[in-house]
Amino acid sequence: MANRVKKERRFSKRMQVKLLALFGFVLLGLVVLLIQIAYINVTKGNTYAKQVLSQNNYDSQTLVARRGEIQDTNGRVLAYSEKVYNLVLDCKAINEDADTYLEPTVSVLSEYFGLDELALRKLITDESTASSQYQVLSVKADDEEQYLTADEKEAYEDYIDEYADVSSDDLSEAEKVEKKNRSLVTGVSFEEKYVRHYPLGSLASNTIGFANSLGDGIVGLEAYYDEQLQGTNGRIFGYLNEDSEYQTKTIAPENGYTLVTTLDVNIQEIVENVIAEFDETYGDDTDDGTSKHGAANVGVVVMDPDTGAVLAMATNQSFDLEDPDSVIYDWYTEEEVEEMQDTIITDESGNEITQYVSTLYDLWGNFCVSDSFEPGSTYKPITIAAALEIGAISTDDTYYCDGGEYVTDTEIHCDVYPGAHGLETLEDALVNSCNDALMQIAAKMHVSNFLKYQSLFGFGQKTGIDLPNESSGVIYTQEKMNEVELATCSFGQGFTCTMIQEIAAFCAVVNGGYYYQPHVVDKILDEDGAIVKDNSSLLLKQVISTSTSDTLKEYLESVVEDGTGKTARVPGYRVGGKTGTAEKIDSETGERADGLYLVSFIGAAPINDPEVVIYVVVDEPNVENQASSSYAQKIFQAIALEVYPYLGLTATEEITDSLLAELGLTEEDVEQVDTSASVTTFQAFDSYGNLYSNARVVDGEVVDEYGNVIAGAYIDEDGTVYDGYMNAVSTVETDDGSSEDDDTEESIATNPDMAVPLDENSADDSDTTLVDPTDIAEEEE
Amino acid sequence: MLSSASAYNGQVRFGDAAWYLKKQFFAMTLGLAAMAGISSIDYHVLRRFSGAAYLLSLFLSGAVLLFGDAYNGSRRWLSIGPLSFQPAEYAKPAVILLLASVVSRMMGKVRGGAMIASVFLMVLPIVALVGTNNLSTAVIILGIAVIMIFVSNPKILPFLWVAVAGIGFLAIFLSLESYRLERLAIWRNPELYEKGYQTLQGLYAIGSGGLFGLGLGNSLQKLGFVPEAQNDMIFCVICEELGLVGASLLILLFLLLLWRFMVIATHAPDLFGALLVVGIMGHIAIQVILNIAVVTNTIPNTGITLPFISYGGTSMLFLLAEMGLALSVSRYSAWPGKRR
Repeated sequence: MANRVKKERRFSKRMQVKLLALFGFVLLGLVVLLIQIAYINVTKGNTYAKQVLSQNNYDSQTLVARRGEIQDTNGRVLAYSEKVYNLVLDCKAINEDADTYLEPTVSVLSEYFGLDELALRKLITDESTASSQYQVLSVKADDEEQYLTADEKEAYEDYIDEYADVSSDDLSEAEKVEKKNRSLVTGVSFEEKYVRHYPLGSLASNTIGFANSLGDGIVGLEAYYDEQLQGTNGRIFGYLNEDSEYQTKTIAPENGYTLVTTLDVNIQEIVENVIAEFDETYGDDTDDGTSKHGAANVGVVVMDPDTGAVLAMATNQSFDLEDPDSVIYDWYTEEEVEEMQDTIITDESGNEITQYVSTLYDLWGNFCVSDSFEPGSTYKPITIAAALEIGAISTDDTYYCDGGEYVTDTEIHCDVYPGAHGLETLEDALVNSCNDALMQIAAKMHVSNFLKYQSLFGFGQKTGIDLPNESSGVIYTQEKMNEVELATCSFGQGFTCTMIQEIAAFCAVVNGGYYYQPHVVDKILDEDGAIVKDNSSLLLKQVISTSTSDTLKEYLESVVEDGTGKTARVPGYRVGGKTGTAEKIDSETGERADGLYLVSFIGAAPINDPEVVIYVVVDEPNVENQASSSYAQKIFQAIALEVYPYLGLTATEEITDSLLAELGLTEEDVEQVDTSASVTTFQAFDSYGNLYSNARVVDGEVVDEYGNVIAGAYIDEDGTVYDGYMNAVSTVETDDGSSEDDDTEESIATNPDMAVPLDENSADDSDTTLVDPTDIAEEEE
Repeated sequence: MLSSASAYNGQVRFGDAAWYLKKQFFAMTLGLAAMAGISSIDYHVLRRFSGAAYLLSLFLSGAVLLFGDAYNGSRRWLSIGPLSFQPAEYAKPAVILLLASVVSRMMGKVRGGAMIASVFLMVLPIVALVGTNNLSTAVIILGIAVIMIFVSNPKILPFLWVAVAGIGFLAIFLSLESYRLERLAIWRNPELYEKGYQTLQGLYAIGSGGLFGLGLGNSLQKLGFVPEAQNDMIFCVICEELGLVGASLLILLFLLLLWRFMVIATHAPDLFGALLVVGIMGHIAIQVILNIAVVTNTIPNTGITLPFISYGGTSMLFLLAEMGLALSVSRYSAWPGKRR
């Protein structure tokens, strides 16, 4: 009975049926909805998918982030992005009332921008574009630049609004028509974008690299740090709030980070000038439009041995970063280029590209990090340092050079063969660059120790420098290396390395044994200048002891004073270095190629406490007898003569006339050119109101202390310097020749968009000319 | 029983940015604790508090009108210290509890139409209070009431009258305020109205998903185009990212959940328990159907969230509490073959 009572109070059958019906109803509802979803997908899926992709153009607008700057170590701008505007035409908006809008829009646009009226009319009315809401107009027909600068955009907007606030009563008939026309211009909008500029043109081009018009880094730092430079795009979008009102929301873009590099524009300029001079001297005259090249490759790296910072890095393949494609005509004739454009090849990753593109990438490449070669005798200090470090040899050892060595059944000659160096100390072995002695030293080290130190010094692996496409070079493995290979590797033949590997290893030899991470970027800054990443100095390991390093420095100084490196002597300075003359292998036969050489010189100064290391490689110099390292030594010397004083190294040694005569230098060459001591500095405002306290005039332009042009500042015909607020802040000498005049005029001519001063009174205090000759280096002897 | 629990746990993953995720996670943790707690107590205990709970919901709904915080222009949130919650969400389980208690007691004593009338009178205050600023929730509460009586009442005919009355009421209601008619017009042709933006963007999202979708996290529409992408419109983002297949699977999960509710209700030890579960089932079913119907533009736009999936702390908390209630009923059920 109790059971029955309970049953009644429970869920009755009828209720269960109704519940099931309810569930069935829900099931039906959900199935119907699912069918609805499928129906939407099938009937409108493609249209909607396209709609989603295309609505970037109007419903939501991307706010492009500004790509970060690249600066040199002094803050000089190497690459920056300028905000410009596309002129966008909304044909659909005009056609909504074509009778009213078409004529005014066409006439104003064609008149103001000088556009072809017929073409514009056709664009708006033609069936294919009439309903388009996004047509970018090329506002400068003959120019490659299709965009407007911020000033040009503003000027146009002022033009449109010119009569807007003027009462019609005050206007002439013609002006009234103008006013009406301009107020009826419809469907014109401006789309923000950025264009990349490289103010220094080709300077350090292989290192800086460039970004394409889409803002993607292609080569160099622009490619390596692409992610950091790019930033994050923002967006404006519309949405409905709770009350179904349409509102817009803006997510601001995050601009890209700024790279502060270790490069010094002044050193880079010195290096590139010397390379250009070399090309000019040794290059063959051409009449087919290509440039003169003194060698297949010239590479120079300048490094601070105490941090691994690259101060300059240059090749003889520099190119104009503003117009990177044009470099191909430096090396190939127009016919050759045409042929390359028609030739399709398959690249390493299996993509089909034209020979033209492939060649361009080769030319844009950076010899200093991407090409590996047999270093030759510049490797010898590393072999000796390693042997000393493990105690396989001692500084008291002597070696007998008989002009060569039989290693198993192979005879390997010394450079002086059929002559011989005779009995030598360890120091003599390096000073004479004696292969025979080096083979004996390597034999004492045995294969395992030789390879261990080769790896410790960073050979056979990427250095990890922050540049793309680094090559690791190829070294022998324990299994593959026998006596013959050991013998040749001891003097830098038989394995390959890159310039950056060699200079990083050499820095460790001369700086007390410390191996630093070679790097090009010193700091990464965010938009507000806060440090995001500090790269400045990363000590990776100590490879050899300080005492071994001291011994090697002594030897290296002797090499330059008395040995094979005498040509590289830099009067006034204690230089330690090593020459290299490597016989090349013919890439086709795989045999030693007769007459093809890669010559090099690497040197540090002051050798007792090195502050700068310069490494010069000349690959296949364009001369009869390539086997002379003097080409590299002369380049080294020319660079060092300018870079040492610039870096503030003190000349400690006496400069004798006989030394100058021997080196073929004049007193002028060694005179310490001090470019900055007599610079007149003054305070100047730019047109945005920023005050620069160390402004100066360089090459007819008013620049800040880092060489960046101060916006709005200019020099008039009388040599009076005006800042961005039109205050007269200084004068320049104009009576010592016409060149200054020319420069002056040019600087005005190139500044047509000079901003209008905002407030002339706000810069009263900068009228005084401040001359501060003491704040720059005082290297006068 | 775990099957139903894990079913929604899996769905909860669809969060948006970490901010939402964190708040949602907090609410979920709280909700899971409540669920565990409630499922372990005897649900009959709650019967005694049903009246009090209902009065509390009336009080809170009244309070929110006076002291509520306005977010996005609506006064729907009450702040208690650092926490804020929506009384409307609490009203739903309160009504379920009240009706389950009242109807199971009236059963066999009061007959037919009288019962229907008295039940409607009972829920009218809360519907009116909630409805003043949150119409959608009021409709849901009314719907829950209708479903619970429909199931408990042996007759069918009165419900036809209820349906007719409902449609008539809706017609009058719509014509009273012009903006509601405008919504109807938008519903017919969303592309013609600026305010059809939300609906249209939702359709774009669904349409561009295809069979398998763009892949988890790849929605383009959620990047600012679909308003309330983490909220009311979350289903269209799911359609876009996981495609027709993903959407079907999600609907299937909901069906499984509802099926379990039905099974629990039929095996409940008494009418009170059964009606509790029916109410919960009705609640979730109504919200799922209405939400998906809105997103697919099958019915005009109203703001209804997708249970367990949409963002909303209070909603999550009380839904999980309701799950706990259902689990508690299931614990006392007479399962075939289960030892008593």
